[in-house]
Amino acid sequence: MGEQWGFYFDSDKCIGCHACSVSCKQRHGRDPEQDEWRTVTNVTTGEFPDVSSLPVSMSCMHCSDAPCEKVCPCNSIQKREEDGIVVVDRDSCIGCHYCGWACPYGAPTYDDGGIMSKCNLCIGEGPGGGHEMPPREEQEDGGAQPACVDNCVGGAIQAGPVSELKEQATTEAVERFEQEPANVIVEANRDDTTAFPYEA
Amino acid sequence: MASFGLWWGGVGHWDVFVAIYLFLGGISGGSFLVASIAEWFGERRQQAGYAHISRWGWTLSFGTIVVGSWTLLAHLSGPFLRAFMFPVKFTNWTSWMAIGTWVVVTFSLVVMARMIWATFGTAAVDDPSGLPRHLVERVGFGLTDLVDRGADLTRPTGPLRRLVQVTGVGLAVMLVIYTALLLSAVGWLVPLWNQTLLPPLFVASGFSAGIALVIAVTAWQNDLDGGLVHRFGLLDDAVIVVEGVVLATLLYTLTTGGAAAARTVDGLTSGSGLLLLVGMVSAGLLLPLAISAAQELLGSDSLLASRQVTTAKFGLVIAGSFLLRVLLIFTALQQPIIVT
Repeated sequence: MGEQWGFYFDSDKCIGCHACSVSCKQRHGRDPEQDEWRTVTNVTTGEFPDVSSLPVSMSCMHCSDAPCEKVCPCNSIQKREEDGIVVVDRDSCIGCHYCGWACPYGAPTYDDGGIMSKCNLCIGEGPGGGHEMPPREEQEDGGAQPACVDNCVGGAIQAGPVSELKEQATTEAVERFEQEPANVIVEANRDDTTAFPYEA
Repeated sequence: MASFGLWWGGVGHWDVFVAIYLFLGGISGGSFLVASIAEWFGERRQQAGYAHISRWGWTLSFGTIVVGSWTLLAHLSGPFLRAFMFPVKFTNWTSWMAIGTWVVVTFSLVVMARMIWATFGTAAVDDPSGLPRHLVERVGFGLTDLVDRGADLTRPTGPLRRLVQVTGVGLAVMLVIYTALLLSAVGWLVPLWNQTLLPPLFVASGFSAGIALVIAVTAWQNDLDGGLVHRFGLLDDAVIVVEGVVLATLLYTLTTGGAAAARTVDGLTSGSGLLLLVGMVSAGLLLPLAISAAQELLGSDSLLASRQVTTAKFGLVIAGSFLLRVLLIFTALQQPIIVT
């Protein structure tokens, strides 16, 4: 099995500008109104006037035990051994939406043709762009930087081999990553009383 | 670290066609079980009513699984013909959808054979009741004689007949359980689709609705003996009580669950969710039991014991079984993402 790739997200650096989701749609030609492979949501807590809001950018987590892969009746969803990226073969998907129920992160989207598509960590472009693509390469080896990473103004999103992402992360984030079956390392917001945690 | 807030993901991945499919799958399996029970008793007691119940049981079981299979295909949002490639494409044996498709196909073949053997051939010519026979007779071209001969040639006897009977019952139970497992396979993420309670709930609901459908139709079509209607009605009541207990347990588990369970309870106790729950419990559980209790108390001569009221009771059971599936599809919620 090759080095597993994943995302790293630091909520303290996210300003909620949606550059990640917009650039994702642009690179993959997705429907600007509906087909959101990457979403930015302001998660709020508290009640007025004591309300805090935290922007969170999220996409397919490329889970290590991908539940979408387990429920797909036609093996259209595949967790690739070579790089851990979860891809979909749109030529065999029947649009049963079972993966939508199985995904804890709401990653699968269904376009006008009714076929599932989702983040493929930019190993290809467009829906189904990840299927049967060669193993993911790092940018210095010719691999394309994921659009969300490329366009994140605060450096909140990183992508790469998990071992490299761990080196940037805090011990707490790595510990949480080890406990949860997702290929994403998330930094917790360090001050949950701050409504707008980013400091330029 | 304390959670910052909850991020509620997408819901409503399935439409009403899935609810209809789950309902028809359940009632098809239930009708098959009723037909099998009637066949078992019919072999031991010389009473014509059992044969009529069996015949209508196979027929209704076949009809509902055919329509149910169509609704299953209708909910797919991909290219329609792609689903017909399932013998080649459905190869993921960790998916209940793939396993269930093969259960549906195998069950459909068995129930079709059982319907033909019960409705055509020498045994059926003596008593040519049953919708399939009437339909084939309308087609003409000597098709009835052809199917009659085919039924007589293929009808199993001896140990093979027993094997077909047992296999059919096993497939009917598997069909109903699979419709529950289709949902409960993601029960770890959707609290309403409880992995332990959904299978018995669906078996009880499907069997109960199957009894109601088969007995109501047979009573009207073959002037079924009142004693038989009463006996199957009591069996239905017992199954309804079991269904009520399992449903109550399922709702109780929601009150002790996490954030998604609590929000599901909110949905079930307000707005359309409350209407569905009250409608399902009233129509499917309370009213049929109340009618049965009144019939027992007032005796067989009372107006409440009339065929019309009994049919209305069975109709309520069927409506309740459908509402249960609608409820389970449209009030289900996924666990939120906890943002820390």
